[in-house]
Amino acid sequence: MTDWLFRGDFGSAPPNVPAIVLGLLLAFACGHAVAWIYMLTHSGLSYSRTFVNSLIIMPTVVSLVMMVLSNSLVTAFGLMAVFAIVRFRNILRDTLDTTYVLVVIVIGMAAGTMKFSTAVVGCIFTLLIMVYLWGTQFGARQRYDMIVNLHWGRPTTDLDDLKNLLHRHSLRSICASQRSHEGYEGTDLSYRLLLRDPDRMDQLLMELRGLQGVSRVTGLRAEEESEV
Amino acid sequence: MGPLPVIPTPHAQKLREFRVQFLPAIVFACTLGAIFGLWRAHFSPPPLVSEGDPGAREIRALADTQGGALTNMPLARAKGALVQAIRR
Repeated sequence: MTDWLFRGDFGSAPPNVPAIVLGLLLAFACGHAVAWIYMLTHSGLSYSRTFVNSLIIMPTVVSLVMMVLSNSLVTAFGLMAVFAIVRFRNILRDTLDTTYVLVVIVIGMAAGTMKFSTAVVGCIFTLLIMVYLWGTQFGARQRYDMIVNLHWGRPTTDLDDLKNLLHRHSLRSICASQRSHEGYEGTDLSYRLLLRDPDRMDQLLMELRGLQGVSRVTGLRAEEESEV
Repeated sequence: MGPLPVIPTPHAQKLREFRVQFLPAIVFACTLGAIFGLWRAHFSPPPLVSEGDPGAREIRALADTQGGALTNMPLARAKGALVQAIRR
């Protein structure tokens, strides 16, 4: 029944579908492990979520490239030429954009060299990876829904009351900044919150304003796109 | 002040947390399982590894320069070779 798919390669070499799937899975797993290690060990301000995503997709795409090329020097030069043409008139600033361009080129080459099975399997596989990365927000290190800035007028030893209230509304709270001056009564605090229910943000702000020692409360909703 | 009761988390939010926190690990584990299964099923190492000897032999024969035919070829010494007989 699936012969039309598994025998759909008319290139120079017959297709080996288990080998194709194993190669793609292996590339995905290795890229996934590399991306996790990168997320764990990266330091500095240059962290990019899209770069982490491309670390996962790129090995799979390269694996697909090698399957399509299959020792054909002519096809390899064709790939380079097409990619150079696309890259020549487009400035791809994002690594993930470059990966997407490479994906469509490789799928086009697979179809053009009559490796239809490889084109179908590779396309489905890369699409599944892209949806997976989007659905899991893979690569996001600092997830929060809301930023709360407030002035705490009581001693910092009494912060447990505030943390208690934040815990009531949030799964995770991180104190991003704590500022106090000499001759300035109280402390300015800024928290990043991953809310239990983002729709009840107003209730959190209202309860914060009602807490003794809290004033100048401002809330800012953080969107997912805030982290590049 | 005692600990305040936490507000309930909607199902959509729970699903989002599951997708973000646990799904990558599940997908990675399933991928490893699929790799292991495919590798074992289709790419297991061969049970026997052997080395072949082509058994090269040197055969010399006189050549009839006019007709292009081999004459006086000692096939008996090339026993077991691929060339068993040469006919004109």
